[in-house]
Amino acid sequence: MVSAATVVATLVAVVVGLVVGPTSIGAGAILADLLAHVGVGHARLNALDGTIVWQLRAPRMVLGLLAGAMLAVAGGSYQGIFRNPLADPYLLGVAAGAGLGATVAIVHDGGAVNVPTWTPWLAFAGALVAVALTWLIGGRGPRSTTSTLILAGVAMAALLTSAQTFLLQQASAQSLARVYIWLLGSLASANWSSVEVVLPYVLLCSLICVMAGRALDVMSVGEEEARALGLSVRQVRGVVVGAASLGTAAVVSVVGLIGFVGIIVPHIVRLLVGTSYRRILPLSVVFGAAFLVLCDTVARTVLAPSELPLGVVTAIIGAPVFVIILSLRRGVRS
Amino acid sequence: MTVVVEDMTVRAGRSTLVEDVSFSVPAGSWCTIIGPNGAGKTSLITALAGLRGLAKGRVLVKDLDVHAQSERQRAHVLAFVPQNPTVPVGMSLRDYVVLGRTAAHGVLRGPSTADLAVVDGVLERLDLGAFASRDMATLSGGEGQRAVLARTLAQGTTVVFLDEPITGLDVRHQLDMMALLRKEVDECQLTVVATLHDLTLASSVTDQLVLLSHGRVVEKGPAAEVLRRDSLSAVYGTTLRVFTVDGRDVVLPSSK
Amino acid sequence: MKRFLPRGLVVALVASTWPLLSASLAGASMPTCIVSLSPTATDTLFTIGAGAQVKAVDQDSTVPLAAARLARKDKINALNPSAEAIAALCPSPASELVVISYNANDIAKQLSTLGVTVLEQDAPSSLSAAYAQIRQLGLVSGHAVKANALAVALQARILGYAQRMPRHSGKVVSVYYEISAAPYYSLTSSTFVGSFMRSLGVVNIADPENTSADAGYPSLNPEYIVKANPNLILLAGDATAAAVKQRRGWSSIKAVRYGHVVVLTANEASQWGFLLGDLAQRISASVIGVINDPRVWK
Repeated sequence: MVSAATVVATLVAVVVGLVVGPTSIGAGAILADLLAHVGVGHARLNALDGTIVWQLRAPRMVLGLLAGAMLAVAGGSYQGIFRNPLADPYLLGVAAGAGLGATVAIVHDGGAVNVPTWTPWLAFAGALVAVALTWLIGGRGPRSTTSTLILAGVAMAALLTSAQTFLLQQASAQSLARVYIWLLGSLASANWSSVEVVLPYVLLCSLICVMAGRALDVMSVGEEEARALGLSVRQVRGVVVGAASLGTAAVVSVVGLIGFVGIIVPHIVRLLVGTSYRRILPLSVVFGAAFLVLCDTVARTVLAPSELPLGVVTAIIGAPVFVIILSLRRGVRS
Repeated sequence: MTVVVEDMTVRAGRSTLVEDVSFSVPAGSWCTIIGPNGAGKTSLITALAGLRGLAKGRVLVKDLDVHAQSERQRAHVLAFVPQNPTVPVGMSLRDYVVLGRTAAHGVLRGPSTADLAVVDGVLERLDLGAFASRDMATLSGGEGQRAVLARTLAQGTTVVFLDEPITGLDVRHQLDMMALLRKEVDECQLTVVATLHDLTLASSVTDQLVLLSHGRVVEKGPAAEVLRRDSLSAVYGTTLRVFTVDGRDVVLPSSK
Repeated sequence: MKRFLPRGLVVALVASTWPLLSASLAGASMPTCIVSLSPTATDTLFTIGAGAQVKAVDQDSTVPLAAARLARKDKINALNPSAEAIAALCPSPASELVVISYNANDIAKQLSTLGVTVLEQDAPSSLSAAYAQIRQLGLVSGHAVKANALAVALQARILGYAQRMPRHSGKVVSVYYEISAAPYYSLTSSTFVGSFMRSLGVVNIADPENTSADAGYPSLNPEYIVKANPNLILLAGDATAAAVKQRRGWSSIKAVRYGHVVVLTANEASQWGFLLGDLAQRISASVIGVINDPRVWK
């Protein structure tokens, strides 16, 4: 039932993502145009509307699906690996690393019209280097546990954030504003090539995370017992942390630091379907995708012709939804 | 011999937790590690189970070097129950017992019908069938301990290591648990190595005792003999006396 | 975010770029619907007579008054604009021109995809570049002749201030130009306002603090400012002369002691366009005031 509901939610999100926008274009006309594209009928949108739907809204919607799915499943996986409900995909320094990378790029060219084209690559590299360093410090060696890994992540994040702050302190106020907007995340610059860049990472990494669901269920009895049950905890941790971090880094480097999805979506799913990661993770993929596209629809419409930072919308919508579901569940139990 | 411990030394940093421990346990028998708090019982048993590296020596279970195996290979030959098993909230008892089959089916594949048959068999054997769909978090201490035992038996190994398996249980449940395990030893040729605090209980169910002090073996041998040695009182730092009540050994502190 | 960057002093004709621009833009139809996401461009467009074509501006485009009305209407955040909605502000993409100073959300590419013409004008690093921008706006909006004439007049006016500056050997006017307080953002000679001040022969205390990261707008340590002891302070931020005097340790600064703390009006300080002439006038008058104050040179 819940699975069906999330699939429906995703379909709604896809339709809303294509239909809703500052330019009013009917859902029927879009559908007819889509059918005409595949050879059924001839009712095409006019050139401008067609461009708006297929070059602006569609890649943005798809990027939203990918980003939402990846962040949610990565968050769920981290929560399973660390057995910590507060874990999110940014725990091991992905956000701080990507933020530092993007800051370097944005600040580098001060007042220029265009931030350097290598901004996402530097953000990506920053995120991966941060996680790699975190892993080297806290995830290797016979005595490493998830606790040492988390602590290493906290330290790494603090270190990189201070480097970023130092850089910002040197930068012009104009660069500050630009970095600030980047940090809050946005899907606004989406196009088909950004989708192409992100797609393989999201497909591969979210698949790995979903396949790790059973291993994470075993880990719910703790690391020592999981090992006694025959689970190679270190190996699982390496693979899952690697996949979740890689996917998150790819997403973050393109869309910025969208908060809240990675922590709230897995929790909402958990409240709905229980504690097994075999169900939480695949449903987080679907629900995260739908959730982010719906949030983005709000982000790009309510303030038009300006946009709201996506991170603001995910929190404003996500927090109340979470509280409502939490209180409903309490009602059921008592 | 099913379990052979040779010159086992365990260290944590610079401190030595277990030193030069050697003993062996024949198939289908029960060996209990006793000793005061801090003697190194838990370090010893987790090292036996391969969850802790050795500084020296080796542990053979059915002729396999425990520490040379992968987690999964190890889980095929031995099962381990920690002192305070984690209770996964929101997991049903049956799903919990199914976890015991992890090594059998691997984490990329689900349990086969054969795996599920094993699980149902164990649930029935331990009278847990009625609780199968209960949330682990709602079980009582006794039920929870039996669930852990069920998971352990579902693993299908002939060797089981348990660290303080009766912690926090009342007298009846302690006896029940011991009886259940003893039955597995007698009827299914299970080999058990456990740590226990209750010397009376230990002597009543155990074939062999190993007395540990400061990480070293002080005495080992049949229960009736070990309990009567003078060293027992010395190790525990208080005078202990052994009485025989209804043909069973009872250990009590001296009244003086 | 407070906007503070005055954007264009023009002191020289850029003869070389002129035919290039004409060639690239000739033949393009004149836009009837202009959206300006750059306050500087907005001011320039209205000044050169393109105001009637401007249909929407970003929320910081508050000069002139007609633009301020547009700014209040749409409240466009130039740092986070919606390409689709910006396109929808005009009846057809073919007649639309969007001027940006920052390619936020990759809006240049997205608008181009929709067939909208996009003109990118960043903060110029030199006066000649700023001057070229005024002419470029004249060209694309169909007011090239007037833009050119006004630009030449502006250039002459600004050049005049530098030429009329009295040169007194031994009297070095050191200036601190404050964009905002706490953190103390300033500007260096590598900016166009800074380069105008340099043409007046003043020493800018922010120059040694220039780094590649700040694009000519460094933040200064207050201790450094007090130690540099400028004899002229120009306030382009919110601060008043009285407030500056209250700052701990600042009363020892010569400029504060002898009353050479000049508050620039918000418009002077934040608009370039043709208000830049007024800014140049205020700055040169302030510098002359310092040169002619015997107390400073005792």
